Amino acid sequence: MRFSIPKSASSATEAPRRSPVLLIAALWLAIMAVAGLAAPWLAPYGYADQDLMARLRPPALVGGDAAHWLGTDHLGRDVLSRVIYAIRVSMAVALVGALIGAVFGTFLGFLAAHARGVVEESIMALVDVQAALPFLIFALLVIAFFGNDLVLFVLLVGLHGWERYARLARGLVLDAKTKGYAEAARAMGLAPWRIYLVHVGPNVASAMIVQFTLNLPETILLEAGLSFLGLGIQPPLTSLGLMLNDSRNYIVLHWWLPTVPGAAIFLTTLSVSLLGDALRDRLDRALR
Amino acid sequence: MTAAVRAEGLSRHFRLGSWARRRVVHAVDDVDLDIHSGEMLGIVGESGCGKSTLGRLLIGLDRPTGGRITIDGAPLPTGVGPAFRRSRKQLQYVFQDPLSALNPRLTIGFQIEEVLRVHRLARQPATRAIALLDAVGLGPEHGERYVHQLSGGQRQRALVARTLAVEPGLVIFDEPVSALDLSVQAQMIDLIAMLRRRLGLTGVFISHDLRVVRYVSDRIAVMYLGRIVEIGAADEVFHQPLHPYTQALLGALLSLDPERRRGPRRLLGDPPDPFEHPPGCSFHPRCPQAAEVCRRTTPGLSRLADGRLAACHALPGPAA
Amino acid sequence: MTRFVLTKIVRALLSAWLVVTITFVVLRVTGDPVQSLLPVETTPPEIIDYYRRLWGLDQPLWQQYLGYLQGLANGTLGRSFADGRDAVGIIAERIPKTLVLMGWTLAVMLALGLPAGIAAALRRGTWVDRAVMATAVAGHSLPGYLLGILLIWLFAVELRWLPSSGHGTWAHLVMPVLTLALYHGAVVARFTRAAVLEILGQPHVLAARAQGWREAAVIRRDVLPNAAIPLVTVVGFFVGGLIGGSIIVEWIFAWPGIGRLLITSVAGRDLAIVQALVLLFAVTMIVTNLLVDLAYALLNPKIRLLRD
Repeated sequence: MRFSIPKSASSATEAPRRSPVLLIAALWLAIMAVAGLAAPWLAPYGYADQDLMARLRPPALVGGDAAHWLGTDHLGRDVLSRVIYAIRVSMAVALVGALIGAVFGTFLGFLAAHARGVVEESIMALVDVQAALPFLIFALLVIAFFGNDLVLFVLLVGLHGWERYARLARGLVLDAKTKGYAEAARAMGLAPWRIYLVHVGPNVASAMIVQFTLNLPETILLEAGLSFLGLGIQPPLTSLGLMLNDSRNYIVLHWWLPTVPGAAIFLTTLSVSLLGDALRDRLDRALR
Repeated sequence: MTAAVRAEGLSRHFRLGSWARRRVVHAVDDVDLDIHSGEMLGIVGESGCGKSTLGRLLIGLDRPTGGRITIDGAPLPTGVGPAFRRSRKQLQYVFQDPLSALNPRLTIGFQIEEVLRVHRLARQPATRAIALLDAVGLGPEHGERYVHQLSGGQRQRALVARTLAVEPGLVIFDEPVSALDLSVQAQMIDLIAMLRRRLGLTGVFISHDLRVVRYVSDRIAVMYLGRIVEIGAADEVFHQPLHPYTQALLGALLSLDPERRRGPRRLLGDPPDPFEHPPGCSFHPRCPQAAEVCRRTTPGLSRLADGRLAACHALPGPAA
Repeated sequence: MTRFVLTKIVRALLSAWLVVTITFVVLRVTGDPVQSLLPVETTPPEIIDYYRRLWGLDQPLWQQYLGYLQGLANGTLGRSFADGRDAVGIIAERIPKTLVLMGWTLAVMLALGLPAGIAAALRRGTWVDRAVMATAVAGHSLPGYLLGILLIWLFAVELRWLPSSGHGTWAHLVMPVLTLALYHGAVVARFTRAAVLEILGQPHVLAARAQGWREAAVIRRDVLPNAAIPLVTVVGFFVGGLIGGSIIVEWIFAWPGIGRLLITSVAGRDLAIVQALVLLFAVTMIVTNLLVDLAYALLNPKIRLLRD
């Protein structure tokens, strides 16, 4: 049994507009993108550089100095540099993971709709199992059994949501087959790969993009969550979730340590969600 | 280029429902049919009688569950393999609903050029595509549009243009006019007739409308519940229907015409349920001439005394 | 109806078998658990052999699989690699603590989310609606680990009202429950709002109003009972969310339930415990989804009246 996330209040009633909120969200994501791409040039220090003489310095505006704009952590590492690198790692893992999930799930959905029979039944049984199990549990199972490794972790994050793409893609392809243009393309003597890529592809793309905008924020939170549990990105590499975990014990006197990565996670996820909502509204309207 | 098709004992049964309550539809049941080179064969019958399924089978779009089809003596390829794809240059199908048969996200021009490229049929696909559009009465500007930007008649023409891109020998037209307004229907029928003359097509014209079929066809096959009940030259079938079902179809058609009113009768009873084939002659529950034998044995399509073909116990058998 | 129910049960059993088998396969392809637990270079081979025999790892794979299924049937799921205690026993000790957490969360999230969602739908477009929806969107971007830290900072550090972690008193329960309930309450509000709006737009509501019923009566009689049906279908989704959320929350607040046990077992690679827990969660989810399907069938006349 499926549900769909209800649309936000604005979607049905209001005309498209350039809202300041969306502008800020886009601006924030642009900053995140620049920070992630240009991390080695932007960060004033290395992300693992320790200065034990300058531990737990506050940010510049609340008593610290310009040497460390956002202060330092318990090992004297520059928080600004670390958060820039953490954004780089977290965004890369989330984006690559979300793309893997989209490609993998869509491929299996197409395969199920193409092959039918036993192949389809097996794929859909896997989809059901994956959908029934909370993904965090599944992720913990895999990590427990296979251990911790960056490549494996990215693949694992990539598995998140594949079953939704698979279900969606299968439904859409079957729909396309019965609608006739796919059957007509076959009747014209086009090869299956061409029918799926050139003919069915563009017709299912917008639904896949919508699913991607729903999945990406969840992927960001998944990476951060697993790293927060100490089971994701491993030191000396850093990520937003890992920084948050590191800072938990310093919350009493050094509030900036959890605030910086926490704000980054919250604002980024919120921005992606808001822009995704707006994009969905626009696509919905374009399809009507 | 022309192609001759021979179908023997052709059947297509669909299994519906899950394992526990399987029901079988005999969409096409034991059909023998020849399509002669260069002719236009009309297939007529009520909706659900299996005429579209038969059309799809005849050019290999669907795999029969029984019987066999040969094209110019060679077995007909089906499925998606290379042999099937090559055979599409010979065998084509104009689908009933152009709005769904044309891709909503690709321009008409792209879809025509794509076919030309895939089959390597034109050195300059763009130019050839414009020529094809012109042949069906569309301008180059229509090639840049999407299917929802065209009118009903234009859509049908665009679909025909794409079908003709491969210069096929045999084309199945599946209800090509039933979705169109009456005035546009006439244009479309004229177009098909003109293309047939110019390209020497062999064709099958499927319709529920006997008048339209008669206008474009050389021969007419009448289908009822998956079987051909009568087949013959278009004029003969139209003016001198033999099978009670054909007579009833004409009766429904022409009951306003006083001259015909006394002859053929209107159809009795309900339209048939495709799941429940009556035993014996499928038509007997609705047939005014039904006799005891009709309830028990299925009449085969056989040559009658005057050399025509029909499947009915009430008709005189072949001259011995 | 019987057919519908039977199909659903067969599917659920199939899913359960798939999970059980996948868990077994994954456990085996990851290699020898002995080698990942004992330092290979320094452990004498006879000790490794001893543990292999003890855990039945010297038998052929199909025998291990049969033994595993047999164990499942008997309710034994192996022993903790860490301290040798029975995995089921360890888990059973922890389950009540997680259930307490989830029970309170369920109550609080419904108490927050349902009225908020109904109010937002009935006052559509007003500030009530906008406030509820803004909170819901923001809540969706505020995962448990962030919200939990925020609450710790507020209630434990700044206000000093509540203990920051641990369990034992009522005070310990407040923050974990709030963390889970705020997040899921936001989602409940979104769903409720959508469900009520859907029903409000239907002709029978218009008809009831046209007959001159008071608005409160229309809402109570025509709107809310019908809006409850789609909400039933998302119960499975909430149970899944609560299980995932409770793991994180138990971790943050050092709540000694099965979620925290899972994390420590994963970190310590105590595979017997991990396996048993995953099976427990999976079976819980499968049973929940089955019950949801059946409840939906009972509530939905279209399925209830299905002929056999």
